[in-house]
Amino acid sequence: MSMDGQTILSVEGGVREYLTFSLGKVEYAMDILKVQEIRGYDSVTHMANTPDFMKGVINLRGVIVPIIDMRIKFNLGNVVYDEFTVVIIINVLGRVIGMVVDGVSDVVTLSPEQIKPAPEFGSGINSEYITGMGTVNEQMLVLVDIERLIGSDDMHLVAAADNHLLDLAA
Amino acid sequence: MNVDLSQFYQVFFDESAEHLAEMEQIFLAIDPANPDDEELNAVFRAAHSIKGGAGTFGFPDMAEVTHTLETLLDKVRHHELALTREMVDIFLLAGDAITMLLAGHRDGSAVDRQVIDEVCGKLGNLSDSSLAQTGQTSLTGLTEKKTEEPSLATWKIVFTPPPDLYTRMVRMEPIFEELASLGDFSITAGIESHHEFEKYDPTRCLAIWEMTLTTNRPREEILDIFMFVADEEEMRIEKLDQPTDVAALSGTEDNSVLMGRRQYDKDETASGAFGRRTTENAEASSIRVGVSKVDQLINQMGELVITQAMLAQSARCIDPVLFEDLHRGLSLLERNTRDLQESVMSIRMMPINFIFSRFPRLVRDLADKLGKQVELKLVGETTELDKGLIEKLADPLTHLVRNSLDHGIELPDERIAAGKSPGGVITLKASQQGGRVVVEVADDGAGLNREKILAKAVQNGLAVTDTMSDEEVWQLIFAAGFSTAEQVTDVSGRGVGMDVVMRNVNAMGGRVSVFSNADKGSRVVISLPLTLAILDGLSVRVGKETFIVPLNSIIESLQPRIEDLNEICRNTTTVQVRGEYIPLMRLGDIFSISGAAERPEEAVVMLVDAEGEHIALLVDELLGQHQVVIKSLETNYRKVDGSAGATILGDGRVALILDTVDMVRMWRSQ
Repeated sequence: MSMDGQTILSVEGGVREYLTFSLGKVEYAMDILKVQEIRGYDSVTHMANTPDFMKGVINLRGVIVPIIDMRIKFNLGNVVYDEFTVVIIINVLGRVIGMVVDGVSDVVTLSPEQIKPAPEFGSGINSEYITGMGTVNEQMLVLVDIERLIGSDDMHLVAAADNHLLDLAA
Repeated sequence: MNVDLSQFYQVFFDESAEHLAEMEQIFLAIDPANPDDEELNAVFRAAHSIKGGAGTFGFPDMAEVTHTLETLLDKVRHHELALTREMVDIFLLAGDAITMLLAGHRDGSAVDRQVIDEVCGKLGNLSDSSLAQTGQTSLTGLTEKKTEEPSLATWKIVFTPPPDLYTRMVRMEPIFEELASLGDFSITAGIESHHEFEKYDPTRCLAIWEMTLTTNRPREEILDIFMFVADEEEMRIEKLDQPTDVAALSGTEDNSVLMGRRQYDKDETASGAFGRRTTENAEASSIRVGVSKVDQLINQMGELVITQAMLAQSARCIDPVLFEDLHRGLSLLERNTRDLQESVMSIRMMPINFIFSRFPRLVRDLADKLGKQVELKLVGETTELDKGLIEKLADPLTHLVRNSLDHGIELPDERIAAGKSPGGVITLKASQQGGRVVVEVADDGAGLNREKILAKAVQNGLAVTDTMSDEEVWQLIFAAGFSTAEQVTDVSGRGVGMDVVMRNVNAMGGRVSVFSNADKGSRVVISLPLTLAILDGLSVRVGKETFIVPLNSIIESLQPRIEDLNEICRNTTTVQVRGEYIPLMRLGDIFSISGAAERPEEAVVMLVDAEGEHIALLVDELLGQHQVVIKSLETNYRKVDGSAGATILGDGRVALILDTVDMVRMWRSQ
């Protein structure tokens, strides 16, 4: 691993950029390269027989994009949709997906030494989807592996037959 | 002059592939006992074109195999050798070998030299045995040229050119020069005398050339020089010092034989030119366009339809009297959009023969391998289907045909024992039914074995009961890893197949149904949407949601009277329409929509057709008829039950397109 790992690190300088977003009181961070755009919350078309957090689909310039509300997914009460509601459009696993969050905060640069391994959590977000914890300006950031999170079975976003995509991505 | 030939490679590959396909098609259809001369000529032309191209572009290996094939074909064509079934088999093998070489050059795939040599050897053997058999020393083919060196002879050549010789840009000088290079050559030109000066047209050729040539080259070679210029009937070549031979050489038999060879080389614009068959005339005026370009066109077309719908919606709130011109323009736009859309969609439509045509070969080879006698019938090959669907249909159909061959059709002995003719029939049938294309694979074999399927299902741990209906039992064969074949052959029996068929067809928005009769045969029917891109639909409102119902599944819409409604039990109501009791399905319930109309008599009932079954669909309101562009939900999400996809409405919102059959299934399971 050391040889390959070092090559990659030296190419990228080990420093990566992350988009931070807030859900409840916690700041999360995700790889900025997975973000396509950030937009407001429009009216969605509801889909029948879907979990609560699946809000429906929207028309994003001719492409049908599903919208999931992470606040509902993480059981963060207080779910309102107003002009400040933010949708992060992400591009993962060859899909375009909209993610409703409380707010988008910043773009931060993290070097490997700033990232600590994640502890095991009890509930809420499954630690499987967390790649580590980072600290920027004394603020804790939870680094999310957005690809794993979106591809997971309990998101109901990817049909079971498509799950091999995940293996390819992993 | 250095021309980079590689830029033409692709054209050569494409054309050769076409020629190979044509050859195979003819070989499969040919009756060895009574071959059609025209067909033999067509095969020969195809082989000749490939050989010519391969030589020109520097693929000597391809040229070599094709040459061997051509030599043999030439003999068959000249009736020097009777066509046999074995010969056709070897011809098919040779076609495969050339295809392999072609693929090797095109894609860099592996080429098995051994196979090539084997085929060449077989072809050569056939050629040689023909010589031994007939003892004829024909002047055709390279082998004879080597063995027989004709002595010096004087030939009289009379060439009466067609009047359009000059307009075809044919230059005679190089031909005369070439003839002169063969030996002692002299030429005189005559003029057709009976023309009137007033009608003289300088672009018409009125000359007749008479040539004498003393050479040791054979007649063939002289004819070859005229290959691209003269038709057989325009040439007279006589041997002057051997008058006895003149009759033989200009005799009708020999003439007709050579005619086939020259005809195609004459006029490049004629339909028969360059080995093309006359029936392919329509193709000559076609162009090759990349699929991505067509797809792009269709996507843009889709956007145009949406934009048009958007404009139409916005214009609705504009006063039609004050802005009459605007409204007229918009309705014109709508019509033009529709016409344009039809034209664009037709580009993608292809006859299903595109995939059907591969099956004669497959069936023939497999039947031989399995020791079965099978006849393949193709019905409705001209049915047109979206290109994307055609490509995706190839694998499922191949599975089905192989299954029919392997499991369906019995061995000849078994068939005779069952009181059937020893040869089985597999029918591939395509037809358009409303907005769908129905493709079926039927055989007159043993049919599905209910007991065996049930036993196997139990073994595989599937939940089954003996009381299941036949239809439910047949559905079991679509389970993954399911095969009742007693032994695994390389044809089928591995249990991958039917589940793949089901998955592929479902992915296309299609459905598979199975019908079977013990000892009578089985039938698998695939029903597919006509196109993947645009459909006519009626938009309906339920609560605050809008849905699109495909127009082709709607029978009628009506407002039910209270006396026509019968509530049988809770949630089960029927509507009486002209004496028929039709179950009422509430769209609001299926999609769990709040605020949908409760009382049917205050809403609208749509009679819809779900594969032959009539269902009354309750909606709140009919909104209007649209053309909608089908957008895939699977691209970014997953299939939504009861829907055939989604579309974007004029106001930019997303609406689900309903799939009546899937909806009925959902409704029943709720």
